[in-house]
Amino acid sequence: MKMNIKYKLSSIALLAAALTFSSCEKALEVDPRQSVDIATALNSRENVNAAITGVYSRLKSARVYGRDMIALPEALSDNGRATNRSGRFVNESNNQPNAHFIHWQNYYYAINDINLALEAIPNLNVTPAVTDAEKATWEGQLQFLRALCYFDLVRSYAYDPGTAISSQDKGGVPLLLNGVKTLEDAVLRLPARSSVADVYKQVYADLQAAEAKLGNLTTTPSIASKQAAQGLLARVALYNKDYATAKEYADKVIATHGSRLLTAGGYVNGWRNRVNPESLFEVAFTINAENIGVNESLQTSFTTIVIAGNRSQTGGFGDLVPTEALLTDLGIVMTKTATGASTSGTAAVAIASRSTDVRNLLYEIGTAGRGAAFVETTKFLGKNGSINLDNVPVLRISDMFLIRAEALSTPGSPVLDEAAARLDLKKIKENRYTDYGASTAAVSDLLLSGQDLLNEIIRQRRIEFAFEGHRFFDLKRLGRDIVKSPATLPFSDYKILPSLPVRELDGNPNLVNNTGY
Amino acid sequence: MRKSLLLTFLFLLAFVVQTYAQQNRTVSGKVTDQENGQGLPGVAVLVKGTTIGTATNTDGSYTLSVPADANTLVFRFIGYVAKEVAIGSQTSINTTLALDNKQLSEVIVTGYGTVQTKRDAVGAISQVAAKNIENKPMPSLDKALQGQAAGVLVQANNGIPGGAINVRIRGVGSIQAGTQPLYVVDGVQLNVRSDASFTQSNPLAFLNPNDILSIEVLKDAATAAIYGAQAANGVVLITTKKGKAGKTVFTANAYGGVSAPLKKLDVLNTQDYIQMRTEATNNANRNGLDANRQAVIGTEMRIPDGATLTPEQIAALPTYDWQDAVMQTGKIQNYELSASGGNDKTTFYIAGSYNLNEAMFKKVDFRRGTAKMDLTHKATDKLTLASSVNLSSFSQKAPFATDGSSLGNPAFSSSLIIPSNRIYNEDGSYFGMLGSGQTFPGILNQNIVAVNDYNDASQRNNFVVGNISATYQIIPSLSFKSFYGLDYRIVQGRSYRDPRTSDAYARKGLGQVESTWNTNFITSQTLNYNQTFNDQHTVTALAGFEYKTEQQEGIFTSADGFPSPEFRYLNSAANPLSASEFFTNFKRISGFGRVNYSFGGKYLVAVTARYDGSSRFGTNNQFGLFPSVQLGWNVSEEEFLKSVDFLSFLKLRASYGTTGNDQISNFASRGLYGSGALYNGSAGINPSQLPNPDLKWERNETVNLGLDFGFFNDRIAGTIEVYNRMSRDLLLDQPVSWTAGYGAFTSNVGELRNRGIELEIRTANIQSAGGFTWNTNFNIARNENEVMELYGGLDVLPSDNTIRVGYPVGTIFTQKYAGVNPATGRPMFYDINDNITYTPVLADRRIIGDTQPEWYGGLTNTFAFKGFELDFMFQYEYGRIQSDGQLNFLSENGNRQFNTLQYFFDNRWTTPGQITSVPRPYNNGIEPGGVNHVSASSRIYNKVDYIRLKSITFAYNVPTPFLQFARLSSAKVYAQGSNLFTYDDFKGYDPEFFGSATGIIPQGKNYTVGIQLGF
Repeated sequence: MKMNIKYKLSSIALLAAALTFSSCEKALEVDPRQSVDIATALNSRENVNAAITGVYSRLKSARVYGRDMIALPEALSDNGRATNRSGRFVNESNNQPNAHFIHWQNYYYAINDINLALEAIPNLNVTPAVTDAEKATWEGQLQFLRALCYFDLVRSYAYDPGTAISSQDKGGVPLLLNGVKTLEDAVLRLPARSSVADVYKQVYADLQAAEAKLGNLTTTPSIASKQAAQGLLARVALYNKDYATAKEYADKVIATHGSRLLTAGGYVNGWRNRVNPESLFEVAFTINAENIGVNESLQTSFTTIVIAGNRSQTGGFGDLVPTEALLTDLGIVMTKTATGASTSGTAAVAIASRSTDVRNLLYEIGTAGRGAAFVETTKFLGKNGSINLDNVPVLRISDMFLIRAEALSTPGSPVLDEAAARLDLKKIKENRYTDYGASTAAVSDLLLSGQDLLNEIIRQRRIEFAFEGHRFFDLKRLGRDIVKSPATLPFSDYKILPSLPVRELDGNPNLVNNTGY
Repeated sequence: MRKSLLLTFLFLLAFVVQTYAQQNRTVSGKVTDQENGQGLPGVAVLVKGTTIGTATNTDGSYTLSVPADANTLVFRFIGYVAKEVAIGSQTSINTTLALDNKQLSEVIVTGYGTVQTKRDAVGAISQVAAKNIENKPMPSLDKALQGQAAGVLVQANNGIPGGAINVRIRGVGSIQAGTQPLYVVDGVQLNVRSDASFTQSNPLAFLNPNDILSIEVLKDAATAAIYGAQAANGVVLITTKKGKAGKTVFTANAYGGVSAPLKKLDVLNTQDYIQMRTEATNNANRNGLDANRQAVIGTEMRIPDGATLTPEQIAALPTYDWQDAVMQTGKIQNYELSASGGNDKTTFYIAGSYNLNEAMFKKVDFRRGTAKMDLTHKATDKLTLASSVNLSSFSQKAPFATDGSSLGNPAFSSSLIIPSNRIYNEDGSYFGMLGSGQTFPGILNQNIVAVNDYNDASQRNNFVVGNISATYQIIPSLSFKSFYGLDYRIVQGRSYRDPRTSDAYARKGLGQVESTWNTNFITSQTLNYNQTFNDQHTVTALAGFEYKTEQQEGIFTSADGFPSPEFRYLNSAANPLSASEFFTNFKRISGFGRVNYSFGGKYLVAVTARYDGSSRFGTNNQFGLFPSVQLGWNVSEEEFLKSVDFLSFLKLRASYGTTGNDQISNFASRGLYGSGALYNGSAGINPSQLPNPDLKWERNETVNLGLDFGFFNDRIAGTIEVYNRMSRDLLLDQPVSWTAGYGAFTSNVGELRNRGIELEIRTANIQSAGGFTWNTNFNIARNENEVMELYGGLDVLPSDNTIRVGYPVGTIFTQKYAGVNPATGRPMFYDINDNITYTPVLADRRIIGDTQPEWYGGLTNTFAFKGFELDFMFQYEYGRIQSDGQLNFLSENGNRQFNTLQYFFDNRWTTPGQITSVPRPYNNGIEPGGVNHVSASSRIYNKVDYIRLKSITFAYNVPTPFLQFARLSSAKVYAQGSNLFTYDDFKGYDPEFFGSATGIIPQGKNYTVGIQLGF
């Protein structure tokens, strides 16, 4: 009897063991709940939409339009001066080696997101079936975004067409148009740099496709539209020294949306709106969960001010402020110290006078909460309801007028037409200087031609887009030295281009770094 | 393959049940102490070679039913020499036990309930007895291991009571997967991941260290292999105190004391600060010292009329001690009450405790209440039921930040704030608050005393760690145990950013709340077999299987816009900001077995194998086998050595074993699209991870050679271990080009080797007739770590240049500092050709050392005389370099508007020809055509060697006559100090740290006194 019990118990134990193990593979099944499997992720209409939203959200990174694509072109050029309050931008404004753009990862991640989505759309098998209109909207947005990514990569990491220093030119950036789905794909992805021309060719192709597929810009410039694609292509063509295309596309946008140019009376208010009325495309920061915060947002980077005109409440660091040269172009004259130096950045800071340019009204004396005050820009001022939360304009309508003006006035342009260029210049100035119509400048501007005309257009670009991420790229594409204190950065200096990420070079023998690193 | 292995286990199970039944008889008797003739309660009485046994009751008597064929009884009691008595035909056996000075006969546990004498053990196991950790004011047991066991490196990463501890057994065995050991409390494998958001909460702090009976550290893979895939970093087995039969013994214990800072950082006073910034700004823009001094005092420091102060007035400016204002003398209190007792059927141990541990830093504390119940009941002769339950709740106040360089972090800012900044206004209110109209000068522009005072955060961890088991004696030599364990934890945290302080001023307060649930369930079914054949061949065997699931869920939410600082709960907030939820889970299923064979106690063999399946790994490789073999030879048992008088014990051991590392994220093998992206009011998804269906365990193979020795009746005893631990198939995030859209995928590539030597020596230096004894325990370990191979022929891991083939993990690869140009005061560096350069480039980097210690260990001395006991323990580390982030800020020496260490100021370059290592102060730190002197170079890496008097204890055991008078069974009073003295050459706060040390809450020292009474 006892024996029986023992054997029974043993049998039960054995049986239990056998049962447990027989089902062990099943016992190990468990799935994540905040993520979905990559193999089936893009099998629904909703998830394709979400994947496109995912691409847009990458534009918010502080490495791109969250900060760097806007702030670094100011710091690296002659517009921005680092205040050394947090130490940020000190290296960039001194053009130290490796103080440069580092958005390679962010943009290539976005490109892979785009490629995966573009490949998924034709295979989408859903009910009701995907309509042609739906498909066009998706693909148009994705191709616009891919063009933006490649344009930003190539203008950051490579020389621009026509001004490359051939002894230092290592080509464009890798051009990748297929999504990575497996480990093998990923491991074998060791691309070389494509030529600058090939990258531009792809950007043109994507933008022309996007132009055809996307609908007109209405009230939401945070989503890609036909005009966003046209406007970006106008700018891309200008960088490409393809003045005919630049003019052609600027014409298109101006024809339908030129009236969005703000008047001198409406300019400042336009910048106080959540959505800038001039925007053709902007990167939206909608809710506070998207806030980049007190260290790296554009507001904290550029100003200590929280409320315009209020110097008693200190918000951000105000790490990067206008240089004296930019203040001069803006028509702001500072009170001078006894030694004749500007009072900006001293305890005695004061503005002596301002010109009639309404754009300088977006510059004021910051608070003294983090040391002696400077004149700071208030283009980013927490317009979206919370401090440090602002939409970031990428393309504004005024850009179209200035692109066209430049295309029409650049010596050797196939569409050279200085009279038309002067009209565009006049259009901008009429809407920016309160007394332009009656001023002597209006008369002398009529006499501008040749290099003087071009220089005035470039100067207007500097004023119009100061602290919007243009200046460094404009000087670079024109092959100009960056004249600044304490040291001018000649265009021939290797530090005009950033290093490619070292980790990318380490793992990829096909990739060549820029000269000097 | 998989199926056939499973069948093997089933076969093994079947094998051990094949045996027979027999008639039993009863033996009874009494066990007494040889010295005083009193009955000894709680002595284990076992039939030799079986697991049949009982324990003596209160008066030392026992009754045991023994099989007819049993011929010897073994009497075992911790601290006494075990005794074997032949049964013959006797039915009554009385015996005496003698106190044992030899520690070798103590027992050790090796997992799954296996208890062995040290003589029979064949593994590399370090044991830490209760005595060595009791009454130390350390909330978590891992910290108590510091300096106690050879080869076990314990580093605190800060001074938060209940904060994170880094424990490494025999070096770093993995580059990117976890390196912490497996902790097992009474059979329950703990989840030790910290889930606290607002401070560091070490889950191991749930257990009152005084409830621990012993800690065994399984160091070699062959011993740890019974834990298979989790054991690569070693296993720490914790056995808690159990009840003993006999009169109920009550023990009350209380201690109290204080914590205090180790030291304060010696930073500049106001006058030196003015001089430093004046020189820095003047060196950068040659406006003249006077003009710059005026600007520094007036504009930067905002001292009223700063531009016109006379030298006398400058000399009279006050300095404010911000460090003093955030540090404190903390209270330490601990109260415990336990009761232990029972009869021959049922024993119990009940204990409760309350512990308060305030750090020397304000707003950092730890409060814990625990309740423990341990119950064992013999339902029948064959069936034993047992349960052990630990209930514990600890809460911690959190400082504004636990580390990092945020401006409001008091631990970061207190040493860096401009020293002329006032803390309080004359009316007692805080100086420089937002909205007050006052401005707080400097980069560190927050009144951190106010920040620490106004903001608050707290963290509570509630635990149930318990188990129930039933053990059935199928036949005398075979028992079956069914075990169920639970490790359940709720982590709750709240944080409130006060609207009066910078971080929440504009948003009018920020509230955050988190809640995390961890449910970790484990069950194991084991068979234990123990039989001796022909008095020579002893076989013990273990076979079992186990299932474990660990699930974690949590929610997190935040809101801002509070009406006033009096409203601190989320329902008062205007704007809900975020609501998030997460879930993660893994499952494991395992079969395991071990057979130990002993031939006459001389020759020992053990074979272990475990087969694990884990949901964490790729579908092609979810299962892995971990075998091991161990050999032991008790040389001193050989006839030819029995005549060697001075040699009391000698054993040689050799083992080879494999273990696995599964410490990666639960879904690392899966290809995923993750959520969380947001744009324009919509939620987005992004691909987050590539699938790796081949992902498998990281595999450790260790060869271990051990020598245990005892001389002169074990007056000198110890162990030498030599090991070679190869980690293969490393779980590594293998980088891919970012152009692929991913940074890396988890892969099995590369090899790592740890080899080393460990020595433990225990000596009884003096055992005088007068009762004076002096014992010394010393341990030292050397570990050599080397990356043997990466992948694709790479010499350096692309994403991490501290991982280099041929060098240890944590190798520092940077430019070499060349000191200061005596002519100009500018910092110089060596280029790769050892020429001087002012702008070192990447190509100039070289290897300058690594962050792993070469030698480490501990030294304990114990003196005892007539009830007095003095015990002091040193702990040391030698041969590593570290960059201390806080020290780097403190060495900027005027680069920016914050304070610096006196050392750097005093040694700064000031005059041509001066030889020094500290460059001249220069505003923003970058001389034209140069680089910042605090940027990466050998200059920011420092030796962090130290010897620390970790603890010193003085105790007095009240002698018996007084005890009887007071009707007590024992009484002890004691005083203790921790971290009282450190020998080092380090300029930062504390050489004992792990990580970057920027803004961490520093460690303190403690003084406590206590009393322990038994009645």
